[in-house]
Amino acid sequence: MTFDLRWRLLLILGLILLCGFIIYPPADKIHLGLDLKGGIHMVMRVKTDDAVKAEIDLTTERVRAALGEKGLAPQQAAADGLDTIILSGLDPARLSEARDLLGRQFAQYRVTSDGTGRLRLQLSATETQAVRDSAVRQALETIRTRVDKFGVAEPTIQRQMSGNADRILVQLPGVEDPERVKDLIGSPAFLEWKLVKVPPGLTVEQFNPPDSPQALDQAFGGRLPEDVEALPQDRTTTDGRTMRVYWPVTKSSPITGNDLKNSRRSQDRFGAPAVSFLLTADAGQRFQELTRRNQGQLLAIVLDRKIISAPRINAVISDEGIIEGGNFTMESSEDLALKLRSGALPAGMEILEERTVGPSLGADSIRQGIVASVIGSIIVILFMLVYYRLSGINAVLALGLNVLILLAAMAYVHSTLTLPGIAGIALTVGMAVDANVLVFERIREELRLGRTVKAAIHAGFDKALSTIVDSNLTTLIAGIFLYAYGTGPVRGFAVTLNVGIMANLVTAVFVSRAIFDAALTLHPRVERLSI
Amino acid sequence: MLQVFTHANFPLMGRIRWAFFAFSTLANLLALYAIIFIGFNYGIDFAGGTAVQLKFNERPPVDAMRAALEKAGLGDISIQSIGAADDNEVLIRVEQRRPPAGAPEGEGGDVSARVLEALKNAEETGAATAGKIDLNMASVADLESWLAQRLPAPAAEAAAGGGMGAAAVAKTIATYRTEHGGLFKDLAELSAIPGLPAEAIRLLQSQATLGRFTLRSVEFVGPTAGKELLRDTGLAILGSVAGILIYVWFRFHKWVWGLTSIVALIHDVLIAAGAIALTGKEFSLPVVAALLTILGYSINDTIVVFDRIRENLRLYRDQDFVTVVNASVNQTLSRTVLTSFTVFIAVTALYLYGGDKLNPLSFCLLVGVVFGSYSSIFVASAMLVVIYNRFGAKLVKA
Repeated sequence: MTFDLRWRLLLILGLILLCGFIIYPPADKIHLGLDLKGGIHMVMRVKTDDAVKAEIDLTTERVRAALGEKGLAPQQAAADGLDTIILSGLDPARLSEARDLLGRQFAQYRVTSDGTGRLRLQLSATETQAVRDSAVRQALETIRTRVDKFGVAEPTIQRQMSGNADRILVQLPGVEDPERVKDLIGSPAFLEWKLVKVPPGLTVEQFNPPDSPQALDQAFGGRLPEDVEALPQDRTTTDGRTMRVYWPVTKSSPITGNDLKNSRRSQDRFGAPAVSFLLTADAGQRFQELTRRNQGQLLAIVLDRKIISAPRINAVISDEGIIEGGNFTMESSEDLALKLRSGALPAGMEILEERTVGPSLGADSIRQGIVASVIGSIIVILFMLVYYRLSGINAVLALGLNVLILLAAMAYVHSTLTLPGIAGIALTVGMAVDANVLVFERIREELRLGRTVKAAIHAGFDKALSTIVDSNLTTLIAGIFLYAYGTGPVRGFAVTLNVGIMANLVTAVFVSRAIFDAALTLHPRVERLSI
Repeated sequence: MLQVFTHANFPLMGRIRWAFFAFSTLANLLALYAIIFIGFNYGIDFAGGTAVQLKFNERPPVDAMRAALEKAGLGDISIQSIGAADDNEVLIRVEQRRPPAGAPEGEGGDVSARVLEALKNAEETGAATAGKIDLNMASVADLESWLAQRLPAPAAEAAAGGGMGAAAVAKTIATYRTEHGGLFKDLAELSAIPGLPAEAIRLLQSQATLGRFTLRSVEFVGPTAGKELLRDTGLAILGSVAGILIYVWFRFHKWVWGLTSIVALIHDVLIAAGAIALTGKEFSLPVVAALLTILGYSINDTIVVFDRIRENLRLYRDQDFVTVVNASVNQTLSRTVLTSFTVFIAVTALYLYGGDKLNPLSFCLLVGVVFGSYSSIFVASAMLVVIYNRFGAKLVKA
């Protein structure tokens, strides 16, 4: 045996050991995709417009305050479009003073005068983009925290980097309950406390919230006061129907979810599920002040612009309290507490794509995929052995090593095996022997031309090499595009196909040739090749 | 020695090529007709909407289900049986609908929840209100919290020799269920689960129910996502074709070679896509994956033949071009047939045993593999000959 051949065989042995080491034990090392393992796959879009709108609303208030301090308050300050605030009814004589002041204090806005006594503040494009970007990043963090606290093993939560930057991909293996998860990670969970402003002439006891915003306007004599807004509450009537009523509440929220220090599931005094909360020290003082000054009033608890309940303030509350009367179940109170602990999402979420696979379907898919692959492989192997006889063994060894390398590479880069991925492996088995066929047919041709076994083998490999490289590369080109544009399970197909093709180059060219050379060394005087 | 073709010398590039051209043209026209006038049966990936897959204990009552769903006002729905008849599985598709203005956006889960609600019969609804748990629908988490409220504390149980808490019981039951097709047919089956404490079996057999079906999967694809997936598909196919064209052009120096191999490749993909449209198989993401694989694979065979033609052109400079092409095609006939055959075997196994989800993908590959070999000889090589006869050596020979 030549030194060169010994070295090559050692390399192959090392490769086999390395692959075996990477794969072992397969159950832990080969990561199954959600379509095989069961679980939830979701693509969500962060409604970043919400975040821009919130930024504009906040700025509107601050502009009003800043101008008010200098006695320049506009009669009206309103958002125009998504990124612009229009101030009207300013003192015409001090317009430029107001403009300079705003220009200084709100540098991220472009302040212009439209010549009719109004001022426009427009958020710059880069600043708008920054607001959107930070909303997505914050949403990502919040979702991550919520999922962590919910306790899912090996979740994938990532921002989609290609194309649309406002997309978030969430994959939760083994989770079967899409409704609960969607609410858990998709609802903003922005909590606010707002005082109820009953219409003039009515006491708190006399007021009953009407079932339409118009009726509420009527109660206030046609129009709600400037600082009051109408928010809905869904009530369950005694006969089980849902009814929506509208409460008049203050626009400002003295306390919000941002003031929470902690929250957890608890029970109200009747034993029904509720959520208890703990405020920060600072907010606790504000809450104490608020409840002391407004004894006997109603304090609405608002979650995502919907009223949960509006209990009466009967005592001074400082930093500890309870949210009750929201028709909670054990599960929903647990989930709300978790969401409040994790913080609110900066914007609403829209679900673009959702796929849930139950565990039994996944198990069936695995079984069918494996059965199909094994049957396919056995027939291919039998065919190679019958058609190429002893040389067929060579092809089968190369094929086995090909699949081994494929699995090891997937385990090494933590790629997931999906159902189409299994199809990719089956296809690889069919294609892997292609290269062997190319070489063997070439060897046969050379033998027919009267060459010796050794010369025919060498010529066969040399002449078939460029064809093998060519054909594998073109398949790889399509596979790379498939990977680049494919999503989810299809990407899994691209992975196994591409890795399989590359492994094929190694086994068909290098390994298969080494086996022939080894056989030739053992039988140097062979005159007939079993092919 | 077994050999498909020994010393093959068929006059494949002679007059007979016109017969194959006619066949290819017809096949392509048929494919185009199918794609344009029959159209693809777009799966949920592209059409959007909600798909709910259920598995029943017995033959699914399709008509009753349809009536129940129509009564629930879910709009356009379709129900089809999938898999083998004794799988008792159905796929319910609910078309995409624009949510009415101002309403919360149509989320997939809402639709799937409404589908499940509408399908429950009086008995199942009654059981749910009575606090009974449906062992066929309950998730592990549901089952665990249900058991935790009803089973004695684990400590007490451990003392009694049970030693299995609610979590372990729920997991054992769920694992058994998963391994047995996802459904219990009878509560008596619980007694057959090894290791389950008698206490839990007694509790469940008296207070649990078995619904008629279990949820296999839910898929929702919104309108934006569907459009984007379709666009990405187009980009992937265009990109692959361009990449392969450039590679072949670069490799064979003459653009005509690249052109004919691309024509062969489009020929194959078109026929495979046409076969999908014609048979009404679902056009889904995996089918796109199959079409792209055909793109890459079909060129494989063409390159094997082209490589040989190029080699022979150098060896036999004084021979007639058509003779050389014909000889090359014949010399490579064995491998063209054999390599496709091995792939064909693997794909046929997938088609027959790979299950429902892989069926359109493997069917598409099957068609593509067969035509891939056919086209490398009768489209790509034959076109080279035609171009040579019409325009002379300048375009074809290096």
